[in-house]
Amino acid sequence: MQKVDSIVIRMYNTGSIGDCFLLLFQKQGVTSFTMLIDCGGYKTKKESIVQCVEDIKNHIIDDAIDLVVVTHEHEDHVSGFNQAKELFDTITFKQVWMSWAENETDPIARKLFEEKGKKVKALQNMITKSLAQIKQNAGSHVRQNGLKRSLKMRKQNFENALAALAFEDTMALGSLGVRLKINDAMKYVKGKSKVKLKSKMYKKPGQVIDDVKGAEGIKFFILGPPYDSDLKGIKNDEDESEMYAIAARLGMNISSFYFNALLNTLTGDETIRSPFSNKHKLDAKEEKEFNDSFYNNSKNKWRQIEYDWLDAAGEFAIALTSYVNNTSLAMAITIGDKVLLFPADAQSGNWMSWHDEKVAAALKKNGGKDANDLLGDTVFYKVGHHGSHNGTASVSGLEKMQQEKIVAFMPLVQDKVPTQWGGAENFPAKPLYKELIQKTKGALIRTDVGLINDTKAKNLRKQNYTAAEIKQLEKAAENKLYKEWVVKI
Amino acid sequence: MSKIISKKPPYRKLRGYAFDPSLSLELETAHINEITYKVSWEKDLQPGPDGEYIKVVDRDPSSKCTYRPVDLNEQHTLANEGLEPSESNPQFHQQMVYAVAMNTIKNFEKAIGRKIQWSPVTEDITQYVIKDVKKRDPKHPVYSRRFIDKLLLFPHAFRGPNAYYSSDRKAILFGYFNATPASADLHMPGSIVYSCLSHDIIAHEVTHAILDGMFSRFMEPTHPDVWAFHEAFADMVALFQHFTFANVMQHEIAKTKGTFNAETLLGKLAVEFGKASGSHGSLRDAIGKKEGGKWERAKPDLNEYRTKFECHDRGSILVAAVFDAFINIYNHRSAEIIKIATGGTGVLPAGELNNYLVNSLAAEAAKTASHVLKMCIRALDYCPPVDINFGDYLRALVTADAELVNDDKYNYRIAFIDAFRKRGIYPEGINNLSVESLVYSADEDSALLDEFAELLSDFLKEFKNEISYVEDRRMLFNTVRKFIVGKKGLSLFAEGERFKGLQDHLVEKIFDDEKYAKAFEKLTGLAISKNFKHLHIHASGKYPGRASIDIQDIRLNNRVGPDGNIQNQVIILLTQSCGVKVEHDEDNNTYNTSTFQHNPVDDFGDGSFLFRGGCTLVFDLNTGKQVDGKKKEKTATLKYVISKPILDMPGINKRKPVYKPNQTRAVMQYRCQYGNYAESTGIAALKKQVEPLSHIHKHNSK
Repeated sequence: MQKVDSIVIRMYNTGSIGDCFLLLFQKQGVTSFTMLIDCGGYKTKKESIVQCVEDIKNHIIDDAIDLVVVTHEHEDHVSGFNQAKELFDTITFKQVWMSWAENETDPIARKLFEEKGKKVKALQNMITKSLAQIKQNAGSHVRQNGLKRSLKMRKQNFENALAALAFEDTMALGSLGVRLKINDAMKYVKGKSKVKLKSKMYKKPGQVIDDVKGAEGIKFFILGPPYDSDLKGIKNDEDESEMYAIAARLGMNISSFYFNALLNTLTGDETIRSPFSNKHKLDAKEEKEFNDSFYNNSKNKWRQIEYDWLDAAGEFAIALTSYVNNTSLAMAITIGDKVLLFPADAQSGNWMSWHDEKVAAALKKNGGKDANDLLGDTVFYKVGHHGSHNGTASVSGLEKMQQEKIVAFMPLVQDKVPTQWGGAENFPAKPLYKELIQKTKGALIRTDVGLINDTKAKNLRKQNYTAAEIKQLEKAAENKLYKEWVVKI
Repeated sequence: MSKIISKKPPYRKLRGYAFDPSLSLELETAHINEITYKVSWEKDLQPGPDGEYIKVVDRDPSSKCTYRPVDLNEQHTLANEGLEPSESNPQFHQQMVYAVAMNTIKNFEKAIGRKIQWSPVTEDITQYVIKDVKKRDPKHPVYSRRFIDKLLLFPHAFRGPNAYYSSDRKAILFGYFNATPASADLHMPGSIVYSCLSHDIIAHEVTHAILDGMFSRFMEPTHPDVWAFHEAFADMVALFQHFTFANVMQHEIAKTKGTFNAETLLGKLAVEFGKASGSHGSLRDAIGKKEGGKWERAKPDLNEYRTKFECHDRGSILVAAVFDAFINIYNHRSAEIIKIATGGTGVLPAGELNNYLVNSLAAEAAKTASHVLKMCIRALDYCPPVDINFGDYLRALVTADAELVNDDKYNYRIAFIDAFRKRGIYPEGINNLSVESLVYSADEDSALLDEFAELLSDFLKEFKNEISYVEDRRMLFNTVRKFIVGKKGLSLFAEGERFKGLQDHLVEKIFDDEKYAKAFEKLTGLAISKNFKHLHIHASGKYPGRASIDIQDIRLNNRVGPDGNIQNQVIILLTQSCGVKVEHDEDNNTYNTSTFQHNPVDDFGDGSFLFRGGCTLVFDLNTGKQVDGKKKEKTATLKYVISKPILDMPGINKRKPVYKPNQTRAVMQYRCQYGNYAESTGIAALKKQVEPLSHIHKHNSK
């Protein structure tokens, strides 16, 4: 059987921050296999996405995509399946891959999912309630300068936290222009798959798939998300310590002590709220006296501390985001000796897990290469999490990339970075950006600006690439709708 | 019939933890962890405890309840030396924060010789002073500083591994959290840890509050050192306060047996203190660590000061330097004791140390710690009111000590200079590191200085005489305000001639004479002459032709030195501000500084900020010249001028003076808040926090 000898990679501009990659696997210039990795944009317009999907439709064969990969359940990766649903309805998905975390029958996935949902709801409710109170307080005449400042900041923090939580709420309206939710998109993609077998659809780290029809000679290495220790499945499905370990690695290690307080405050549950026995508490009458004479008294009200404990809610909202990012299906694709790396939005915990002893051994056994080898041979890198500070690991990632010439694609539209992510000034993260420019010797292409034009990058390109190669890079970035790069065997 | 007259007790004895409860679980330390704090007796202490300086308020919002306040005057409690240490009794928690906070406050007062004040709250009083709504300018509200009598302490304010001082609310918030399995060796997993039960955390946070009361502008990160100093100073107080507990020292010294080595022992202890409070990880590294089972002191690094920028790391350089000085002083002081004990050989016998020796060594350590602590606190009187850096602090330390202690027989000052030098901390504008050159001096035109001092002499003495007899803190605050702004309409019943404040004296006696104004300008670095408008500095509300200057405080330094010498100094803190915008080229090589008209209401654009200059003037009432003929009274002299100029000094010294903001300082502030230091110092991230101090030191459960 003839083998695939080149892969065309297209990074689409979905009009906002988001991932949408089309891979065309070719044999002597003829496409034999098509693959779509994600399709979404954060609060992007329907037209922008539809435009991309129309182009995709024009480049696949017989209106079918051989393999659709949805890396994780975030709007900026899946909104297209809602917004361009009519178009997708006319396209066949022969096979769909997702991470084990999307498998509703996996006990660990289910438990993490429920826990996350509960936490999102609790945080949302509490913050919404407090925000209303803060607005009310800020509205009345505040005379103390410091208090004025802190109310303003707290209001901003809570608004950011709510925005971050809305991003995590899969039951919320996810995309502009359509009344479908994020988890509708997930269901839709799962439903469209011609291959329904769960073991084929949901991937776990250590697996290597090398028998895909049409993609002969190609190996798909599954690197993450971490599914602890035992790759054959979890024997003890309700093991708390196992749960704890995975939750911690996925970044959802939020103090239950804190959440119990949140939940209790919401449900009005009077039991075991405080760490002290009831005899130490003021009773209702005493409490009223305390409030009237001091705490709620207009003279002292500015010194209240009612919201301080909720400041952490903002951090937790961000922690929940990193949890879902960490459930990203991270994979490496090999063509001959060359490696294409697609880590999706994996963050530190996910990256580090690729090097776990057992994962490494499984990868080596099943595909002949472990994460170290794969990183060392990487020639194409899809920059993780839109260039955030923790979307590309240093020690367990970038530093291990050894090839002379690496091309990196960064799916980033800088002016669309949401404030709750830290705003445009943190994307791309400056230290990472510097490293990436160095590592790729200037061969870094962004969705918004194309081939980057910093003085440093330009100089590096001149020193390390031939004129013809530079021309090639420029050509790769020329199209407005997509950036395109070809990796040949 | 004879009457029994009872005397007011000097102390209230209160039991508490010397470290934190976790040490009570370790067999080795269990018996030294409980100590009795001797807290100054407060006459009208209310349940709370609610006293003269602090009010403990046990509101727990995350548990939606309030805990009953402890009444320390209750008969049984009083007789039992307070409640028994217990983690499960919130009333004991209230007692613990009260005891340690008061202990810290009193240590400050002992050192500076006057009562401490909390930083006042700034309030918008436009609606009260301008009755006519139409006359109110929304861009320029009228602000007033309101006296804060009590710092509020909330022992169970939130759930989280942290504690912080909130300058906005003049309160300290302590968190509690459940120990994560990572620290299972000290804390039972799932058990709750209370930050309000740790001596170090309480002392640390109270120190933040006291420092803010003395220098409210140190909350503004205008230099990588400013927040680092806040942190380091709070750590230092907590650390040295620990060393003053003699019984803890006895226990530790007895344990060492024949191998007593102060450096190892005290260093190790400092690190243990840090460990117990669950924080200060960088302090650990700065002082030393255990490697391969052997404890090793960290070696100072000449480059540290130039390479470590993050607030915490940088602060630990200062702590380590002061700690070094402490050890050297202790070695010097204890050498004699060991020589006596060993018949001059200095070699201790193997086995248990004799009890007398242990006690004298411990007492000496406690004494040294208390000296160093006092020195560190006293130095505050000689610090600039804005933009402090470590070099300034070293000069302040040396100056304060040279002022009070003539004969430096234990080489305290040399020990400090040496420890700072080893870490690459040098004050600016100094030719060499001798004590003489480090002591601040006002060596400008001394004839003019004498003239200034003479002009203000009567006023300063009046201040001294009046303030010396005021006890009540509210009265103290009001008296100082009176001496700053004068007494005017606020008191409806004031009759007769208006009392003139420092503000009036400065304008009338100095500023209104343009020649004096220019000389004062050169002396202080503040814009005094009519040229102030070049910098867009606001005009004074009361004297529209003059620049607005903020007189932050007037303080009396009335201390007695070890030789019986009495200090009589009046310290004046002046600051001034203008709006500065900094721009620079792509490579951060050239910076351009300009000023703009600012108001306190609108947000500034990026790269624009409020820029402050400041100056501390130290007047000595003892050393002036005899006034001829009349009474045998001396005039005051202006002894030290510690300045952070708002003006570009070379500029105003030109033949044709140029008035622009101080480029070096403005650029540094820009770099810290917006530019290339904003990230490495952590200031960029901290500025986004509602409570910036809370994030400088997250107390980890590790």
